[in-house]
Amino acid sequence: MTLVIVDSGTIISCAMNCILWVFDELKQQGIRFIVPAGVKNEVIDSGLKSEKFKYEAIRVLHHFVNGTFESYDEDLSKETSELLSYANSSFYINNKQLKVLEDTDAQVAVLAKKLNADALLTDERTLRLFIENPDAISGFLQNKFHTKVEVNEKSLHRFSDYMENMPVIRSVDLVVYAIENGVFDPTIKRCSIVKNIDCRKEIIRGLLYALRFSGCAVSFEEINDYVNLVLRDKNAKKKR
Amino acid sequence: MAKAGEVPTFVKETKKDILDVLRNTKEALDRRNSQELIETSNHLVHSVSIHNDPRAVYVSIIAYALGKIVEKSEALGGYRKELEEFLEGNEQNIGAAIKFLEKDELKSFDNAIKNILALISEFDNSFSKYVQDVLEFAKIQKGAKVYEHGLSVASVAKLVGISQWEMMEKIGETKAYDHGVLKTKSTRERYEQTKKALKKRD
Repeated sequence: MTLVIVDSGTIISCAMNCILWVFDELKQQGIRFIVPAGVKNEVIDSGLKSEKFKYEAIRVLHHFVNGTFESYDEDLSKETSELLSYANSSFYINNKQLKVLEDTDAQVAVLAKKLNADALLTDERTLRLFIENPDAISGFLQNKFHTKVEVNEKSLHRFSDYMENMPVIRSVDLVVYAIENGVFDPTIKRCSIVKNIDCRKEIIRGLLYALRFSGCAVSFEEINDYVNLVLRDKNAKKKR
Repeated sequence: MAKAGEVPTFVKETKKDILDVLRNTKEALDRRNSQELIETSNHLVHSVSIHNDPRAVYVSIIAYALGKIVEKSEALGGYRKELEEFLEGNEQNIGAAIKFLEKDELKSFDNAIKNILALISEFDNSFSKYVQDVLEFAKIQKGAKVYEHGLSVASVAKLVGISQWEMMEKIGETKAYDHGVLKTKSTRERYEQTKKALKKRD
């Protein structure tokens, strides 16, 4: 089985687009989705408190009940607090620490390491940068605050060193993988019956845009690249 | 961190920023200038992002919410009597909050801010034709601004007091992700990485 740790943002963006069923399908294909208890509570409790998102939260809950999402309930507070302290002591403005990550952000990272996961599934921009390219964060902050951002290089790199190149996947990457693995084939087939359009292309584009508009950290440029890439690969496979 | 029952203090820069914004808000409100009010609310974004100060969050929300109320009044083609009374009342309340803060009477300052927030919520409820409370709307707008400054969605949601659901929905509408530095891998690399990571383990 492939083991993937799931963050709140990914669950939210998929729930908002009614595609939580994709997780069910991928579980059938051998992927286990583990969610830290803190993240589970945050997503469900905050959703249930809101009239607007209550039903989405209930649908998320359903995916815990049916076993697609597995809650990890063991205490992670010690490791979480340590990892969080690296992140939140990495940047200083006017001698003041910049608190960029929250407890639940660090929880998913800690759990991914603890369970030796195959990937961390998150739509969170800052967490992904900490793992993939921490040096890019300072330039970004400097640009936004228009002031000198002091960097504690040791803290900054302790975070990424701890994560040891853990693959980070966003909801858009997961959905592209699902498309490539036939999860959307019935949808594409049904679309083709009634519409004289390139259904595969429009479904890919529609899904990626929908996830972006639900907060997944992906640029419009990347979406266009992805659509072209998937279609090119599909055509290459056909030719073979 | 303040203990229970203790009034939390300020860092010096935040106090100055909040005073500046409150003074500008009072003046803009006097001129019934919605754009100036909305613009003024953005001046606390750095303070909120750096110092995570809830007072700065509230003051920013107040300026923004008042800006939206004035804007709505302009769109409706004028000021009704009850709206005028509401705006004048707020000018006075903001004036009082400024004096409390200048004298470091923080408990009275906090009560004045709480009072302004309650008045805005109450007024908007009767005035607005939208379901969403103007304060909730303001929190989401300000949250999106803070998010642009590098904090995670979870951090911002906690700071401004809204859910991650609302935050994610708002962020999706912004251009926060079209910043070149955020692209750490090519799309091809990411595509291959995903396939490799999700391939079944034997």
